Amino acid sequence: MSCLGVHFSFPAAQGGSLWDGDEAARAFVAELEERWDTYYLQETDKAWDAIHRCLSDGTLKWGAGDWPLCGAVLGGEHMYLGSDFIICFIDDEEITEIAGALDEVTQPWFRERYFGLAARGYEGPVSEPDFDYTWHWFELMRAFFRKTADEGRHMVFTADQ
Amino acid sequence: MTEESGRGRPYGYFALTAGDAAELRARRASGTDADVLARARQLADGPADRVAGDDRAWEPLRRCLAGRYQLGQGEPVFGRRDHDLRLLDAGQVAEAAAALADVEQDWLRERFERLPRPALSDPLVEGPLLLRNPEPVPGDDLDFDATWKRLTLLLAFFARASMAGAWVLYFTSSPFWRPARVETGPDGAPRVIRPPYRPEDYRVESNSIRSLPKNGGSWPFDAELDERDGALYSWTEVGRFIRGGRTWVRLTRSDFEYYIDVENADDRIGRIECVDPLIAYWQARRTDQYPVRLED
Repeated sequence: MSCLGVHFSFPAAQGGSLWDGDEAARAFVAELEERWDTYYLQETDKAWDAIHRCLSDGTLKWGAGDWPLCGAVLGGEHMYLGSDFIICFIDDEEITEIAGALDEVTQPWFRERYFGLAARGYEGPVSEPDFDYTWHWFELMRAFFRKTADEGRHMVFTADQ
Repeated sequence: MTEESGRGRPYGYFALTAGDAAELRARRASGTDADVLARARQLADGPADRVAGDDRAWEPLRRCLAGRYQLGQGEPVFGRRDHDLRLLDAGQVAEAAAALADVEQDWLRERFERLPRPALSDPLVEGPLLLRNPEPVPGDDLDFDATWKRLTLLLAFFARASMAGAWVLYFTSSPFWRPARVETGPDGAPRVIRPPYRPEDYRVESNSIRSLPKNGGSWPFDAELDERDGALYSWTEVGRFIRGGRTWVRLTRSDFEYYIDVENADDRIGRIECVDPLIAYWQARRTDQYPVRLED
């Protein structure tokens, strides 16, 4: 159970099989994983959990919090119904909206959200080193959203559970 | 077909028919560079035989072969600085196949062993105050077996192309940094034209940080930033943030789009880190004053 998060981007003309059920969605992601084109993916290690909570209402619930920030990790459409894996799809227009909102996130704002997580059920170690770790991955994820928005590509967020 | 993936510049040789090559030449003669690039991309995206991958990985082989066979030669069919597209006719393809076939492993190994390694004084490879660039620096991955393997892939490709009487397109993006520019769009409004993201365009240039102090500097931190003789005076502050309980300042230089983070350590210059190129891209995009369109 590694729980590592990865955002993959892909051309807007692709991804149709994501709507063909769990097996097809997993196969589509498996292909992206096998290709592992680092130009078109961004890892968030295990920080995606805290990042999503900071950008939403402090919980891990899908759709909680205010759009578009809540869409960056567990947003868009859930393409896999099983409990062992997460596949969230966001289209190019949503990515542009999310990227614009992420651009405006400041470290003091993010910090305040992060240090309030303990009261919202977050079980991770709320600490300065863990904040630095979370912000590090957040900055990379935010930059990847900007790049992907500029490229007009779609995206899936994936994590194993 | 052989392909590697990576974050270096796209790099490859693609087999073409004489007709495809003639079309690229015709577009070069009568059309725009964008026409040539669009057609070359179509060809590269198609089923053409190829040997392709990451140019940084191919660099040791290029250096080893220098003087015996020059990788990247051919007739230029593209005029802009951001890509290098060259054609090799069937005769040149046969010559390449013959030249590469003559390369023996021992000879290549000897050349390989003589390649200069990164200098220990390179500020990107020394520590602890100047931390490593997040991206690999040239020479990080010198590996003879990998270099020999790439030669065999290249030889096999040219041998196949030569047997088929094919032309070859050499296709790579340029090593030159391509600054964004402002132009007037079709609607009369200004817009920023920005090249697609390439890590090397946003990677810290090692000479720019070579002279930065490693011993805390001479003055208080803000004086190093603000005073004309300060060590950081030629850098421009773009933001401050907290890491490890300390304040860090993100800096850039005018006319460039790379960034460094400098730690304020008890009011002296502390650790200095090169900002990840992808984050530097984001930072640079924040300065764009008009809508952005990525260059074709």
